[in-house]
Amino acid sequence: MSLTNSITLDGESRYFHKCLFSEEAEPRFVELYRAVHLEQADLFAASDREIAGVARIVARRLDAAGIEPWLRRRSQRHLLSRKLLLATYLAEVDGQHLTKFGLQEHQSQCQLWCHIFFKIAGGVFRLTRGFMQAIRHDLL
Amino acid sequence: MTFFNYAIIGAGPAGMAAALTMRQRGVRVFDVGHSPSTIFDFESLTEARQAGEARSLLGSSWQMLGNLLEPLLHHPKLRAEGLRYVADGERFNVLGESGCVQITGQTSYAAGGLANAWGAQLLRYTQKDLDACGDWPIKASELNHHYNFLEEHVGISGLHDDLDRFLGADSIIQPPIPLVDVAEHLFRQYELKRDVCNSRGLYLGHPRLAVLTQALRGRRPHHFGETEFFTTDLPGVYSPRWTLDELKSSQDIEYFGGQRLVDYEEFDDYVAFTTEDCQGHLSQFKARHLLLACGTLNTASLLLRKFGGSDMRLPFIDHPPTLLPVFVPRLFGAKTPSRSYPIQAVAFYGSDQAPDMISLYYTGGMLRSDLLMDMPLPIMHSLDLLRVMTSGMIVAQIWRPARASVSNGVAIDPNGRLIITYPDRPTNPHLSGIAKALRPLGAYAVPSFASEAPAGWGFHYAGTLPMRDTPAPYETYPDGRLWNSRRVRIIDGSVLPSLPAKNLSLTIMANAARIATDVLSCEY
Repeated sequence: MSLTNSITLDGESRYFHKCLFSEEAEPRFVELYRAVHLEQADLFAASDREIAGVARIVARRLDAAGIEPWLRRRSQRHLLSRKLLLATYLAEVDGQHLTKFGLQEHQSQCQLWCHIFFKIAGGVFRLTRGFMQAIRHDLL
Repeated sequence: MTFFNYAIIGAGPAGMAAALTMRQRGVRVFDVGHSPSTIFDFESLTEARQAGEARSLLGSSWQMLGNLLEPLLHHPKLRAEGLRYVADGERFNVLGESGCVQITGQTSYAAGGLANAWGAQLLRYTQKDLDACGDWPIKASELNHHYNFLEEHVGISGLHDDLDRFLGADSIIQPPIPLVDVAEHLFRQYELKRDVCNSRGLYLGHPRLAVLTQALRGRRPHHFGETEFFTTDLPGVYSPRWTLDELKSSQDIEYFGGQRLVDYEEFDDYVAFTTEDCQGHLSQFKARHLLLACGTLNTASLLLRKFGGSDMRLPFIDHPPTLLPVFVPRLFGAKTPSRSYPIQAVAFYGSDQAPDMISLYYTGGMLRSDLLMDMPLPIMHSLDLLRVMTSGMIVAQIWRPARASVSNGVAIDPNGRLIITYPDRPTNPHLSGIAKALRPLGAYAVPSFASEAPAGWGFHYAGTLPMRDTPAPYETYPDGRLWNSRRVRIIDGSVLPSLPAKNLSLTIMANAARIATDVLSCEY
């Protein structure tokens, strides 16, 4: 893999990690992301349009997580879906994101249901923003 | 050419049930016998996650990620590196209604067969089952003795409860598996609302599982570490591999591993058969009786190539389930256990005669990432919701009775590949009724959230060489003999003529034992 591609992947993995977990990625995560791309390149075979779309999302710092569900509706395994899903798999097993995948505790039922409501509402907001970005940046 | 009395081909559930029956009677067992090539070093999924060794969970070559590109590339139960060996035999395609390939799969050449990856529900068929699904030329009572024997050998955990009316009250069972909170909640509510649920056609009970809660025959109780999706090295969960090990160790059978049956020829006094090893070397043997327990698809492949060629098509039955997520909001945000077993409860729904069977699965043993693409929200919102909802979520896997259909069959295509055509894959008409019946338990399901597993992913393959009183070509006698044979018996799922909604595994085993018993008393 060329140095340019390696740097691109590292930047991509860091950006996707930030989109998903609102935190900077640890070096191990970046390393694993790169390793999967290197060793299983076939998993990320895609059309030029999809590749360009993902590059555009990263370069323009668009809301990858908000855009992804719209691309998923078009193609169940759009390149962006595959890359974001890879990021979640790696985060789930790298031992550094345990709190992101474990139980979230709440003080009360009221707090729990508020949390659920705001997560759904937040998700709808992200979807709306993602849709608008996808249209504006010719991703759909 | 070496000669023996009895030869069994295959070391899956049928082969091992027959071998147990014929032990110490000079039986030889031939099997390709693939076994796991990796070791899963963790006793629990939680431990594996905490260790942070990504390749231990995702595979040394990232095998778990194969579904990134094609969601239906591997069944969730066969995706991990430690389970790939279970289905690495002959390739097949399944064509759906459109005539396009829906899934591709592989048969099993594993020691223990596909049972290495089963959910381990072992359930008896009753006479009501056989009458309702139809075409069975034997009575359930002919299987009872073998059910008793096999259950005692395997070790079944469960409870005698409302499901006795569907599963029978005769099984001797170990204490039930520990339940997660959501399952306990369902049972508590069922105690209070039993009459309402029953009036809506729903009966709930504990699963009967080949999962030990007490030590048996040198196998320790299951550790419930939620590793079933990552390894088959689980002594507390029965696999026919454990029986094979026991029979080899006690020298009650002679085992020829690494051998694949390629052909046979029947003569008046014996059957000559040829096997091939992994280097392509052929060996020839003779037996007075040959029992084929290769698994439904492997047996079909053998006989289609022997007798039929690409012009022949055999009937084929599968049990592709409907998957329906069920939510128990009262349990959202509750603590999730670090130890559990996937199947937590079982229900029967519908008519007493031919009910649907519902296995209720807790998703604790799956990676959360496996579920994210099924949710319509952005990934991290879905993940956050899963974190609070998992404790109150179960998946209903709903099975319906299945019969042969003129449209559904298996054949060999001109390229020599096994092709299953399965256009007649009915959708479940009972989802609204099931959702309504679950509500008194505080469990809520939305029928439109259901998904239908593709044909081929039920893994309850049967009916290719159905038993008949008077078999036509490509059918079998009730004693398992092929229509044109005296000495060749089919003892795997091929011969089951139809399937009630229940898992067929224990009945495959009991039927194989029944046929093996008949062979032992055969006078020629």
